[in-house]
Amino acid sequence: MDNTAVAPKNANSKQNTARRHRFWKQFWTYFYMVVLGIIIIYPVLITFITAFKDANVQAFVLDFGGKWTLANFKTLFTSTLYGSWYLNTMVISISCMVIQVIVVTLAGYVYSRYRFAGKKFSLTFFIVIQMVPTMAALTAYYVLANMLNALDHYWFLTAIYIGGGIPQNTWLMKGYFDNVPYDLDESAKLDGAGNFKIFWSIVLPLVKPMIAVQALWAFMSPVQDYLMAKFLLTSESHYTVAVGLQTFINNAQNQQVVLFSAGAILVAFPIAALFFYLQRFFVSGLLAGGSKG
Amino acid sequence: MVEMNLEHIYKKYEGNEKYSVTDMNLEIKDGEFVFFIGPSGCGKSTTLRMIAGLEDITKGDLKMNGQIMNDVEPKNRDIAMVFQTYALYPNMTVFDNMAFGLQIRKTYSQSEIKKRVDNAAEQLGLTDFLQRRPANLSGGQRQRVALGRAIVRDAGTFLLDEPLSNLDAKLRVDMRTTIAQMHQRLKTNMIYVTHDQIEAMTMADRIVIMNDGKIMQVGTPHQLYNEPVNKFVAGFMGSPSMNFFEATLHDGHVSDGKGLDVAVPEGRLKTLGAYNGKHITVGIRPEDIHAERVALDAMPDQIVHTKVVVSEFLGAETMLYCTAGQSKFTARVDARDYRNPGENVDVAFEMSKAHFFDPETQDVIR
Repeated sequence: MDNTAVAPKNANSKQNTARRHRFWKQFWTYFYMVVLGIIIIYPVLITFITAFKDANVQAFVLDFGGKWTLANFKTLFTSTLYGSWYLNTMVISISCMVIQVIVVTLAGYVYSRYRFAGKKFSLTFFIVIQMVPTMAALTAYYVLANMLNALDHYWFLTAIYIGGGIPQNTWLMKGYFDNVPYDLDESAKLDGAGNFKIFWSIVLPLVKPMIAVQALWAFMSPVQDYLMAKFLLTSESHYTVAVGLQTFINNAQNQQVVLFSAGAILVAFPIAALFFYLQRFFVSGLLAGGSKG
Repeated sequence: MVEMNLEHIYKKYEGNEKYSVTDMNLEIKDGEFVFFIGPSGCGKSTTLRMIAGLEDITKGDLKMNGQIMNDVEPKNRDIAMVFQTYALYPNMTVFDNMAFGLQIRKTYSQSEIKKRVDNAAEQLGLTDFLQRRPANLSGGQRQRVALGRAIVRDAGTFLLDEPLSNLDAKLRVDMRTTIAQMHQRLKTNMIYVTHDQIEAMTMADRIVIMNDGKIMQVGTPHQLYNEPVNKFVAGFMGSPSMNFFEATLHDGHVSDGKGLDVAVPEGRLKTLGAYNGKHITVGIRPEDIHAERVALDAMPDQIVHTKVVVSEFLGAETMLYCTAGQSKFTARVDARDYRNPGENVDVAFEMSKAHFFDPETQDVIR
């Protein structure tokens, strides 16, 4: 009699323990996500709200009060050089994206598929140069730009961005190409395809996700970079958005926080648009079914 | 129509000291179904890849219809290949996978391509799957697409590199039939690499058995099984494999000094004259060891008293894993002669079917 009464009680307490355990496990997961969310969203929210403030504010604070207006955006394009900066940034970013994707994709393919003298050495060399921080090379870039009479020219800055991205991204691309079974190349070779056809029709479609990632990164880095552009672009009308926006807040006596915020919000649009466009390529399983073994 | 000759072909990979393929000589006639078999790393796939042009030939000549092909591009060798891993293009539909080789050559019209693909798909039961991608097919279907891709090309030579090794046992049997039918219909020469001797035995016109980069023997399945030229071939062909004993021949008997002592029939003794009183390797297939009464009565000098260690009942037959003293061997006997492990049993070695090998050279003594 006693035994039968005790058994369900034990079962209940076991169930409760399991439930409690599950609750705490989930609690910490959600807690972590909320904290992380706040850290990310808080500054974005401040910038967003500040961008719509009708009076100039003195500091970045979260304040939902006051009147909301779109005037700051208008001011950016009518009374400042923001329009030029925006255009400059887009020209640099798009060139950087197009050229870097082409160079890195071809380099990654060659490193993955061909054997040639100096292959191992150059791959190691890529890692070594990657270890030198950009900051350390800043003076050298400046001197080089001076020598080439390239100060204040976009082509030089773009070349630096592209060159900086090549080593690491070539490694990544090579790794991705390595995942495409070599059997596919051989099969295509027997089918009569030449080297370019194999690259274009067989292998390239299978590395689209990585190309999309490369494109996004290459587009983003000029938008996000401040230091290199600040050093190599001298006239204000040639600035990129990051450098230009800085001029709004670097005068401690007259900080134009609202304009800074409005400009920062606008520059996020092309990145977001590119991300949503490229999202279709971020798919897994492209290689599925091709080979087994 | 393609006659193929492999003349003194050698292959050494970069950085390797040893040759992976050594002095390969082979003539493949038009329409022949030739199998390369051997253990892993014996050079069979390397040879196939050299024929395809996917590997360079280090030394020697590969000839097709008398013309040296060593430096001819793979696409110009009139060869279609089926890979072990299928190697289907994952980004293309089944139709496009099969049509790719035709489209690229630009010698076929769109309607001709469609006709050929439809025809191949029908032969292989793939008509309903033409618009699917490889990821949405089963293993067997993928392998059939790989075969279909080779069929549509109408190539002079088909190379098949372990095409069935990724399939389950039942599918493998089905696909074996499909490939055999394909060969009968197309009548092109096919070279098939496998390590599965059943595939080779059931389909081959001729089998090339390789070991350590060298050809051990070339012959029909019947020749390889019944007339092996050396111990390697004798041991490789047949499952369970041949039983071997290191024995001494004396007074018309072979004995291994561990528990085996049987008489050798007169007829066989004639060829073994030079080995009298010397060591000799004796090989006997499991099915040539009998346990039925009639056989024991017929071969009183060839009876061995043994103890069963493990027995496997396989329905129509029984495998008895036996010991005689310290000698061990396997006997394939009738299901009615099933014995439990631990039982003592007398078996008769049918020595007229035994094979004798030189212990030094491992070559058969004839």
